Amino acid sequence: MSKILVSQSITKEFNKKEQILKGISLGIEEETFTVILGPSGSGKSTLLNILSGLLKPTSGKVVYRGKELTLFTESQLADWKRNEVGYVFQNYMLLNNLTAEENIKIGISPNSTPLPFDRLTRILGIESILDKFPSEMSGGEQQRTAIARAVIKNPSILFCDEATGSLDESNSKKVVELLHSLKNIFGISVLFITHNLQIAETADRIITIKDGLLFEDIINHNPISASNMIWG
Amino acid sequence: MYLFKQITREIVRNKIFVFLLFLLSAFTSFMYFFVQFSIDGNMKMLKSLSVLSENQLLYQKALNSNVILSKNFLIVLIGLTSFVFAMFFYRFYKSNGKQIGCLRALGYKNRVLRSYFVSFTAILSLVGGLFGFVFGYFASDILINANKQSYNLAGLIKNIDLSSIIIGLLAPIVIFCIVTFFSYGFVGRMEVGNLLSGVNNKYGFSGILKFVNSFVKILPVKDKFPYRIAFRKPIAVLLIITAVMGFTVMFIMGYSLNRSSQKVFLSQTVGHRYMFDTHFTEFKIKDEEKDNSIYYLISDVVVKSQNGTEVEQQIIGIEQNDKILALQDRKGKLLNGIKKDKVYISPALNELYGFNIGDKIILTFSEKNYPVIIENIAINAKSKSIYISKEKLAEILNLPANVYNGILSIEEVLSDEGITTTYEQKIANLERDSVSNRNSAVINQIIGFIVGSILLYLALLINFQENKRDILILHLMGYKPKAIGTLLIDIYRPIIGMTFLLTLMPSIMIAQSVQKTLSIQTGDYMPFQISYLFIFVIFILLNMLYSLVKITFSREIKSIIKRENITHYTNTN
Repeated sequence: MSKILVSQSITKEFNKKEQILKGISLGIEEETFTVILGPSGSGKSTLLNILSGLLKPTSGKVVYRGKELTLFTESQLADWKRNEVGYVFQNYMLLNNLTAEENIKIGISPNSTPLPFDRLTRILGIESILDKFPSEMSGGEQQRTAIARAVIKNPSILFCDEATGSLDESNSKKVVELLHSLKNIFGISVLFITHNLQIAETADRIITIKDGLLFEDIINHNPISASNMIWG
Repeated sequence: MYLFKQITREIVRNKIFVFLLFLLSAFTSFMYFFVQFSIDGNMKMLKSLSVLSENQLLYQKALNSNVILSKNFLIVLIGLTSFVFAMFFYRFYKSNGKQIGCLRALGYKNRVLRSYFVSFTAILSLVGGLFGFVFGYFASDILINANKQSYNLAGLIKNIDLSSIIIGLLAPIVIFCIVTFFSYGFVGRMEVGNLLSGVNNKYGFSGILKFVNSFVKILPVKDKFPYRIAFRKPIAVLLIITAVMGFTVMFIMGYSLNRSSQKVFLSQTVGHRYMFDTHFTEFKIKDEEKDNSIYYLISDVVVKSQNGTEVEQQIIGIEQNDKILALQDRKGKLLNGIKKDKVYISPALNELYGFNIGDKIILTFSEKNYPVIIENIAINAKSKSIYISKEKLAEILNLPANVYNGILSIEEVLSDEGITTTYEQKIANLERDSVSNRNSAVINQIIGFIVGSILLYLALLINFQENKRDILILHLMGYKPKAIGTLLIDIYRPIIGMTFLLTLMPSIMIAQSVQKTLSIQTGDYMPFQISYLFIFVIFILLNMLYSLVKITFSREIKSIIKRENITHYTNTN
């Protein structure tokens, strides 16, 4: 399988003192569900932010389908985010002044063919809340809306940063299930950051980060179904 | 479209701040158009006349001064409003960093986001500017009517040039948009990941905050909390400094302009004992000595100092006669006759251009230079005039010693050739001159009051909006609204007092230098005046203004406690 994203010797320092990442190299395959696992403070969110173009590494390269992301200009990077990738954050990051429908549609890129809106909202189970504002939705509804916003543009890769971190068990399971469905139905690669081992067990590949270093990288030959996750 | 909706709604959430920005934009153009509508048409009308009456000449002089004043008002108000725009956007970006980060993560470019903010500023300042234009149009009647009465002129019109519209309407919009464009740099240069996580979210005030922490450490325990809260909002503190300085400068200038008219009036009357000043266009030969008159010679001259400053003046060659004109020095001592090769100058030359007693200066007549020494400063010298002995001036002008072209006299000079200004006419002219200064004084004080009020209100508003959570927590802990007010609002009174004391000297210096510049630009000497009593009055006024603003916020504490819920502020989203 070809690699959609490759990182080479990524390091990241903050304030020239604290080294969060100490040289991480990895590759993410197309149309896979990859989990980056690690305890709090291990640097996994920083790694995801660098891989997704939200942060620049202090040193090292990120290559997306043969193009070096780290050399992109601000404008090229914005185009790439607009057309190729989707983000799902722990705190949903919905725009508070827009309804669910507007929040989803603001994610549509003018340069790509969007996924069918009705089908997507049906899959995500949010058809009935489209006219609600974020403040009127539950956490689960907000996260499903955020997922819809991220995937409506039909991205090649979806970056999820602790996407279930603010949700209860039932909603978390639902979200993980949905992400797997989206990968299977639309062929979207998913890179999921979590510290939850149960979610990791549903992934095709599990990368573990510890103290800013790649600790373990394993292919999960027998991923469990998201619906069978045992929360604990 | 959704992006526009999101950003517009987010901005409009700060409706009070936005309204104050609108008010400031409107006020900026209002002050300009209020004055300018009374200038342009009348200036054209006066220029079209081949001969101007004495009143028309005085009115033209006042209009020229007003042109400079209206531009100065515009510059000051554009500066202040730009500052408030920058503060608004700084605060907006600080509190909406995550939302902007989210939009950038969705692929919206800095260029696109920045253009929305610039468009918002353009629209707001355009609407404000148009309001200012319309209100300025109607309000200019006040100035036109005042001028009609002061100068006894009929047919004054209200009109404006296209160039004035461009200056008053477009210049502020362009400058506010430039400020907005650059203020986006607060978030534009930050990485999206940092915006989303709130990391590195110090927005450039870390040095100030470190200083504040060290300062607060030395305070008594009971004062630590409120001072820390107040000083940790550098924007509010900056606004307070600007408000206090703006208020003080404008009021000092208002006072000084008002008092300067009286001082000029006095200087032109004390020791001027003649009742008639008759000026002849042709030189005349003095054929008799009169005890109750002074025969003088008058001519235009360019005065050049040693450092190269050149000033156009009138030079008056006089004979000594204290019964008619008793020139005095700064101590009120009579000046006893001008020595040959020496001159007396007016205080304006000393204060505005730096000419001093003992300086060697060059008098230039028709490209011929004559060096003389400044013997003294005559505080009651005629405006824009220097004095020399009549004998010396006749020598310079290559005229016989008994030639004259003016008479100051107690009795009227009966002649068809001369133009006579009576004492009553002179007083009336001086009073007309002072009208313009008094109008400027009132306008200065109005600007000072309005701008001071708006900025103080904004400072407290920022403090309030950022302290809602603290208010609710203090309420949960059993603090009553009054006690919360003491902790969070009353702290600004001593800060305002301290700011007033610390900025008093710079404010006086600014007011003095602005007035000096105005005097030079308008050619109308306005001696700077200040009094200890008035400084105290400004301090009292400032405190009264603060008390007025405070009442609004004391009520607001109660409504926040009723309206808001602490859980809203504990949500991490």
